[in-house]
Amino acid sequence: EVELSTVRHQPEELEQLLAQTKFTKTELQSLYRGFKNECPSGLVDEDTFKLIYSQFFPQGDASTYAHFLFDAFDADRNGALCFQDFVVGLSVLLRGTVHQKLKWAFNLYDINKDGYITKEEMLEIMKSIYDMMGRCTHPTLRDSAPAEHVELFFQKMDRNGDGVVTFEEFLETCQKDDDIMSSMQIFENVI
Amino acid sequence: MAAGVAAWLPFARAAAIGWMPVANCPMPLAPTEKNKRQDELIILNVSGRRFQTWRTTLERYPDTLLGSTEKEFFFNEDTKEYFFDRDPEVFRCILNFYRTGKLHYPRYECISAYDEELAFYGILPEIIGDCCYEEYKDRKRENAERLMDDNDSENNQEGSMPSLSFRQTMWRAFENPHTSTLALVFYYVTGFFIAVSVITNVVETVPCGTVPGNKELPCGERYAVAFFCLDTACVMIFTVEYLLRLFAAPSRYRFIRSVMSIIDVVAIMPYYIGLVMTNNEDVSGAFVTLRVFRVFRIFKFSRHSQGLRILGYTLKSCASELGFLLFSLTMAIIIFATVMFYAEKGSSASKFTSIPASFWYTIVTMTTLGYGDMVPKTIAGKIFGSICSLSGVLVIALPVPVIVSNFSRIYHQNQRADKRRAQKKARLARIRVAKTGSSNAYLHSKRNGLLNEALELTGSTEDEQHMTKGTSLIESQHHHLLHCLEKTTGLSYLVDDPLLSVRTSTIKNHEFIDEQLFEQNCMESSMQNYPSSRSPSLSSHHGLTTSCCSRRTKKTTHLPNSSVPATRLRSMQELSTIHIQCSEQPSLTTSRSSLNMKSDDGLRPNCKTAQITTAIISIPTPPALTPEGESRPPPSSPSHSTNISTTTTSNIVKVSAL
Repeated sequence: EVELSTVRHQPEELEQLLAQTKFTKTELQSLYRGFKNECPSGLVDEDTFKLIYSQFFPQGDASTYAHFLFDAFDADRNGALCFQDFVVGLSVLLRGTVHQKLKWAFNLYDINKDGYITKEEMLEIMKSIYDMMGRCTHPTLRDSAPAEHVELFFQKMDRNGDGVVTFEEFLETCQKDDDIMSSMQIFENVI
Repeated sequence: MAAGVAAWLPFARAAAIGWMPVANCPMPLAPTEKNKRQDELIILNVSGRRFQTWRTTLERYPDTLLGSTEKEFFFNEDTKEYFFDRDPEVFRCILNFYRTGKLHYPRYECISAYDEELAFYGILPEIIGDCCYEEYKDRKRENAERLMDDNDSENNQEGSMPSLSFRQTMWRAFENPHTSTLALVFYYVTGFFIAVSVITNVVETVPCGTVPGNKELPCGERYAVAFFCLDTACVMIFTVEYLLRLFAAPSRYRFIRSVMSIIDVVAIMPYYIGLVMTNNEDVSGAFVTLRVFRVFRIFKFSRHSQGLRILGYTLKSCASELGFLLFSLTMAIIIFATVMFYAEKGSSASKFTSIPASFWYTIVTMTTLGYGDMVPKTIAGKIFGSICSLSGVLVIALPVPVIVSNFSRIYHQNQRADKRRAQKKARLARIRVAKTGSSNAYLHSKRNGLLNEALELTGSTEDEQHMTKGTSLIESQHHHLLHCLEKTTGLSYLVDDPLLSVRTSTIKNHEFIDEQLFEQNCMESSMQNYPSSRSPSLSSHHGLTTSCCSRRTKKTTHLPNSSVPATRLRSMQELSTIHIQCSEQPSLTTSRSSLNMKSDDGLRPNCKTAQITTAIISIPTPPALTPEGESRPPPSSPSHSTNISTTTTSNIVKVSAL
């Protein structure tokens, strides 16, 4: 466990990050300035992360989904996000190929990172997404809505019907679905 | 949105890619950034001192001077910098606000100068951080009081006042003896008579001279007539004064309830009661006792002495501490009295006849008076007696200086704590309002966005500029993010807004809800709650909302971030298809039109055109849930809504979203 109050974490060198990501130097600089401004110690722990992410969704509870996101970004599993984790993840999401993006999404859904998405994992993810919407929605959130959504997802993705979705199945289905393909591209120019 | 959050927005948007494979419908398009500039350094020249910062730092707060295009007015072409002819010291704090998101108040700064600077730069003082807010408010209050005092004294010195009525002049004369000579004379005369009255009361009881018969008489009985005349004169003066004050008081009810008037009444009552009761010999004993109340006349001096008033006030405010001291003393007294009683029970001819009788001994010993009228005789009694006197020193002598020094500290602290609590409530309320503002803003812009699409279809492009409000880029990006989430889950946010009746029908994976049914549900719950909460205040709306929501979902929200208490159930939204209705505003009832008056000004001109207009009227919603808290009698709501449903005209045009 890293002690955030006393340790000041220095990121990797700019050149190294340039090599690892697809951002330009100015982009990396501005990203780091924002990051460092928010987290002067250089590390984001899970609670701070949840707090920050929850501010975007004032009406719901974003903490569960933030937890999954945190796990997805924290590549070296040390319980804290450093700038490198942050920027490598962002590079995949914003500048990666569709294949890489889909791999990232698969990694997010696969909670225990065993290479298979089970129904339970998907249900948890789905519930966390619905939680972010909060309670006052229309149409009203039924308790069975996440489960139904999971069923729909599995019907689409699970080709061989073995109850789990592997990356190949996931990739194949997504590449055939135009909606998903087009929506993957909408965040191209975020930075 | 807070500065920090804005920095993380790109991250949140990127992470939204995680929703894409799960969503069942296509995502809305992202807002385009028209002119995407690389982040550049801008120079702010404030009275010669140059500050430099990134442009994006300033743009975090678009509703301030520096964050908006207003700063362009200060741009100096020759030097390519923004020049402000203001105080550079204060500007440092202001710039730090943009950098860190927290506004601090420097203690060395004058409060009014600081306020002026904040007003110039368009920053609300409420944003001052917790660390400095209390100090800021204290200084501001002091300043306000000082200004008020100055104004008052100015007014007093001015001879010419706006003509006050005779009554008001009298009241001012009574309250401020220095306003006129007559008032001063009156003040001294009453003071003199209070002194005379008190002295006569005292002298009355002094024995002066003997009467044949070897009986010593007090002066009061010897010179009964003289004293009676004096007493009458004083009481007459006091009565006249009281009646005059009663006449002049701006609020007679409040005057009667005030402490000073009660003292006045108590001071003169015994005399009148005595007049009435002189004949009756039986109650003359009681009458004599009443005379003791005449000593209260001395309290009338508190009108003349500021110090006395302050003492009374501080005692009142320190009452809890004194009460606790009394309580602990009582406990100690009871304990020791009991012990002494049982210790002395054995000895013969002991004065400690009962526990209450021992109270006297305990009190005298603990306060180290030691009269000596009661002394313990047994050894055990003496031992406990000495313990009692030692502990008396501790119990009494120690807390007294502590209490004295405490009460100025506690007194101020209490005031500050109450203030902080009141301020905190107010600040939380403001934060809630800001949050609903942001979620309202999202729905506004969503409606605007959808309207934009609709307008493009209908071709009335000249109305487009009415639609686009000045939402900042960050806001539009945030709204786009929320919109994506809605699309992923197939639900949509509900916020109350009389105009948010952009009704869109659903496709595929979520069901239609019958409008009437939904409305009925809402009305039922509102009807249930209305008898219990008569007041159309905000709190009752909260109750209505949470009951409505909880009725449907059976779970109450428990989240710090949710602004559910502030959201009110209002409109219905379904996704992807837009209904545009032609409204006939004159045909609506007055309540509807008052709601419509809150619509965008841009929308109203559209109603005039005969073609498909973009006038949006709200669907029939129970009037009990109006946000401005207009109260409507519950029985009228069902009929009201049915009225509305019949008046909504039928030119409904369905336009599919792109």
